[in-house]
Amino acid sequence: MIYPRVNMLKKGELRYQGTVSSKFIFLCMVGIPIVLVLLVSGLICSYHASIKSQLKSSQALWENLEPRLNAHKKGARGLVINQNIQGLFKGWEDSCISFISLLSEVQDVVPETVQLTRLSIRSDQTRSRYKTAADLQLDYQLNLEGIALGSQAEKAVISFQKDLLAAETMGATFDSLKLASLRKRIDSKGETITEFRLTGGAIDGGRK
Amino acid sequence: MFKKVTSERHAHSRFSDLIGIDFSTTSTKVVRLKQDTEGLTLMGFDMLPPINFKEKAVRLPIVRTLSSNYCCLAYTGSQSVVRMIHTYIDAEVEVLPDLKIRESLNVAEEFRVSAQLIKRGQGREDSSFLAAAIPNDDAKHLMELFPSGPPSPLSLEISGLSFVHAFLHARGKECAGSTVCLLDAGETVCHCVFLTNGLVTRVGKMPVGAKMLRKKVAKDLGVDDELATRILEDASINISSSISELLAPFIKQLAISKEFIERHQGGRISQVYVSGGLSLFPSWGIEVGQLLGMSCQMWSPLERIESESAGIPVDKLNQVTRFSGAIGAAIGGLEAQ
Repeated sequence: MIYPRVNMLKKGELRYQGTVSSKFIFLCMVGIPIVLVLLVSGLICSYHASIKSQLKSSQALWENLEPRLNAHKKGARGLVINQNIQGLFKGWEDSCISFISLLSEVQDVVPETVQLTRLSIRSDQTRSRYKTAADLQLDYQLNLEGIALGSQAEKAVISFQKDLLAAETMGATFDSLKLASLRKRIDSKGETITEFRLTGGAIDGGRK
Repeated sequence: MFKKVTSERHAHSRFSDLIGIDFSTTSTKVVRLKQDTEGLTLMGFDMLPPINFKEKAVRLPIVRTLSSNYCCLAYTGSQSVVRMIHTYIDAEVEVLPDLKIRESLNVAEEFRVSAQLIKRGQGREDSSFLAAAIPNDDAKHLMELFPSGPPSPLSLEISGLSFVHAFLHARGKECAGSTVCLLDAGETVCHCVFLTNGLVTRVGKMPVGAKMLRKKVAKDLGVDDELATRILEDASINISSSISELLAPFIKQLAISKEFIERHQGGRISQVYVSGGLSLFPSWGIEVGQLLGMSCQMWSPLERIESESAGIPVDKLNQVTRFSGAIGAAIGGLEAQ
């Protein structure tokens, strides 16, 4: 027997009270992972889109910059080659000795009793291509032959050797100047002449 | 279908433990009822000080043992209105518009109104609605007593109507095929409800209560209110003349209603049942029975309700009839789910 209720409460005044319903828990259990997956997917999509647009703009920038970079690399390579060439030139310049001043010095220091029969300066340059300036350091070898007259011939030769080594260009070019041979002989007129041979060389090679 | 079954089961579990609260003139009655497969169980009841509707509303101090998630409220105010409305409605209509209810109850806009269809008329016959109105301010005040958290109000009834749920639960089977008159009288007002085969056929509200009876006895016998109460409770002194004189207009109105019901329903009223605070005075039931020419029977709202002995205050057990409004509100809430 159900007796009707005259309920004066308005619908808006009703409020839910109590523990969370199993339906709500189920909805949360299903809904939250879905929302999370959607959220993460959305974030990944937006990140992907931003990366894509960034890549696109970077590609456009790269297309603009790549020719410049190639030109710059090319220029840098040319610069290195130029520097090498300049170095080689400088090395070549440094390795070359002044034959004029060398011969002048020889002429200045040669005693009156000494006659030169042979003078040669040669280097051991064997290659046709040099990569660095150091390769261009030439090892000069001096070969000087002559005769000395008179009783003081040996002394004159020794003095000549010393003076020659003390000379500026000669001293700068050669480390040593050795007396390779010294021998006496009688010429056709019956006079005693002293033949000598001086050899000069650079110990470390190249100019000092 | 699964959804329907689970939602019904969920609603049933949500509303199987309810508090009934009756805001009456002298006190606020609180009961907690629980429903299980075996029936209803009273978990406890308590009597709190009355609510002053003129003061600012503060949260109702309900003890934890009596608390539940939802509560059903019963309102006993002198300004409340209850009436049967007989009007013609179309076949598909089940709800009366508020304007129509206000006109029928003769109340202003400041009143909150509601009506329930009791009996649909056949053909051109009028349909019967049970209608009620209470001041909107009082209803809002009651809502403010439960601002948040448990309990949350589930319904708001007039206690003069809600006690019928408790009666039908207790004695419904007993008066299933007859017409009975229910009188629920409190401190200031008395509600009378006529039931025919369990259906409401007439309701009324009369300004008769324990206060009026006490004053009358105190005046006639020249005693103070306290002694007058004791005289009324003990029935040690014959005060029938005082009571008869006081109740004359009320009994006259009741007799008219009785005759009206008997004429329209085609049968005699078999029994008068009394409840409420006034029924604790033996002279009340005796006098009413004599004046109406039939026996008055007192009933207890706790009939057919199991009790949790731990939650029942023994000193208030004899006052249990005063809880008929609160218990009825809770039973109404339990039955509605």
